[in-house]
Amino acid sequence: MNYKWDWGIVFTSDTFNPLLIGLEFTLGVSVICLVLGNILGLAAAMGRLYAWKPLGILVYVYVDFFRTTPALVQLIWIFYVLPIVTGIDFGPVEAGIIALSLNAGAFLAEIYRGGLQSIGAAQREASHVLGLSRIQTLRYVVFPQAFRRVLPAITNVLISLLKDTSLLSVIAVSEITYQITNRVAATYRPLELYTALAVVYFVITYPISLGAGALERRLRLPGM
Amino acid sequence: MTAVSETGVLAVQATQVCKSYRRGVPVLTDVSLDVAPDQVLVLIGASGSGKSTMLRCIAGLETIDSGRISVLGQVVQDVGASGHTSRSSGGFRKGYREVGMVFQQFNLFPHMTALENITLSPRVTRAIPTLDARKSAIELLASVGLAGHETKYPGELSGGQQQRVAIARALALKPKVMLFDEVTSALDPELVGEVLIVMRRLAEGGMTMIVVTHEMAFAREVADRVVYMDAGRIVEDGTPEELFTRPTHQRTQAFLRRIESR
Repeated sequence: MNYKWDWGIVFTSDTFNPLLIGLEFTLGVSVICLVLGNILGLAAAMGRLYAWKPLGILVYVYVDFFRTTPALVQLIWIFYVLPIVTGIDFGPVEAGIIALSLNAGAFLAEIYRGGLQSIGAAQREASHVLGLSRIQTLRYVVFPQAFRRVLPAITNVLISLLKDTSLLSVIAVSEITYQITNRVAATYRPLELYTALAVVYFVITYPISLGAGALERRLRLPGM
Repeated sequence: MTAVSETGVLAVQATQVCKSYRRGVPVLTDVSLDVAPDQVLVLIGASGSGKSTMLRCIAGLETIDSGRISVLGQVVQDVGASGHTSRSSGGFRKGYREVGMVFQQFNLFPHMTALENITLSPRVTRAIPTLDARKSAIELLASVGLAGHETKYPGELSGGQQQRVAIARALALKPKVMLFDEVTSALDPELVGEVLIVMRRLAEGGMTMIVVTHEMAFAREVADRVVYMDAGRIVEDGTPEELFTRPTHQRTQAFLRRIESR
C-alpha cells in the first residue's frame, strides 16, 4: 500500500472547530429526538393497546409506514415534500428532528407495545382485586416490569438514532458528518477524516451502551 | 352456625348467577349461594365445574350474564334477564372493597419487595401514609410467619412463602371476605402445610372465607360448610360431616371416590 497517511490533518483547529460545532448539532438533535421519540412511541403503544379502535388503526398505519421505509427517504420527503403539501415552511434542523423522531417513535412504539403486552393478565387481575384503577395498574405494576424487559431493545433504538443523525448531512444540517464531509472537500483526505469521524461516533455512542448495561444490572431483580 | 348474622346482612349473596363463555358454553347455571358472616365455605368439584369462575365473579374479575351478586348487602353485579347491568345504589365498587382474593399462582408483583407488595394498595388506593402502611405490613408479615423477609423480592422466596405474602397483601386492605382460588395447587407438597396453617388461623379469627381447594382434609377440619359443584351447578351443599360421610348425590359420591383414590 503506497498511500501516505497524514493524521496531522485530523489534529488541526480547522478540523476540530467545525467538529465541535457539529457535535453540538449531533448531540442536541439526538437528545431532542430521543425525548420526542419516546413520548411518541409510548403514546403510540398505548393508543394501539388501549385507545378507541380507529385511533389504534391510525397508529398502526403510522408505525408500519415508518418501519418499512428508509430513514433517509423519510428525511428527504419531510424536508422537500412536506412543506409543499402543507404550506408550512421549516428548516433542515426542524425537518431532521421531525423525521428522526417519527422514525424512532415507530420502532419504540412496537417495543413498548410488546413490553406492555408481555405483562400477563395475572398481574392485572391481582391489581384489580387490590382495588387499583387501570391507570394505577399501568403506573405501579405494568410499566415498571415492562420497562425492565424492553430496556435492551430501547438501547438499540437509541444507538441507531444517534448514528442516524449522520443522515442529516444530506440536507445540510451542520452535524459532524456534514462538517467532516466539508473538510474532506477542502483537504482531499477522506481516509483520515472519515476514520476520525468513525472514532468520534464510537466515543459518543459507546457510553450509551455502557450506561444501559449498568442500568440493566441495577434494575435486575434478585432471584429472577 | 346461623345463616344470617345479627344485622341480617349476608357476607356474600349470589342469586341465580348464569355465565357462559364465548360460543355459548355455559360455565355457571343458576348458581345461588348465600354465605353468612364468619362462615368458612369450601367449594369442591372437578376442574371445569365452575367453582373458580364463581369465585372470580364474586371478586369482580368476571362479569355475569344474568343474576345478582351482593357483598355485605352492597350489590356488586346485577344483570336482569335482558342483559342490562344495573349499578344502582352506588355499590358497584364499594362491595368489592370488602373482598380480598388469593390466586393459585400467587400473582405477586415481582419488581417489588414483600413489603412493597403489601403496602402498594393501602398507599395508593386508601391514601394511608407510607410509614403507617409499612408498620402494618411488617405486622402482617410476622402474622404469616415471615418476619425478617420484608426486603426480599418474590423471586427470592419459596412458593409457600410467596403465597403467604400474597395472603398478607390481601389482608392489608382489611377485607371482610377472603376468596382463595386453589391457593395450594401450585405448591410443592411439603410447602402446602405452611399456607394451610395461615388459612386455618384466619378462619379461627372469624374471617368469612370461600375456599376453592382439592385439600379435602382442610375442608373436613376447617370448613363450616362444603359445596359440591358439577357442570356449572351446585349439586350438594352441607356440613363437611354430611357431605363427606353421607353424600346424597351420585355425582358427589363419584367425585369423592376419585379424590380419595388418588
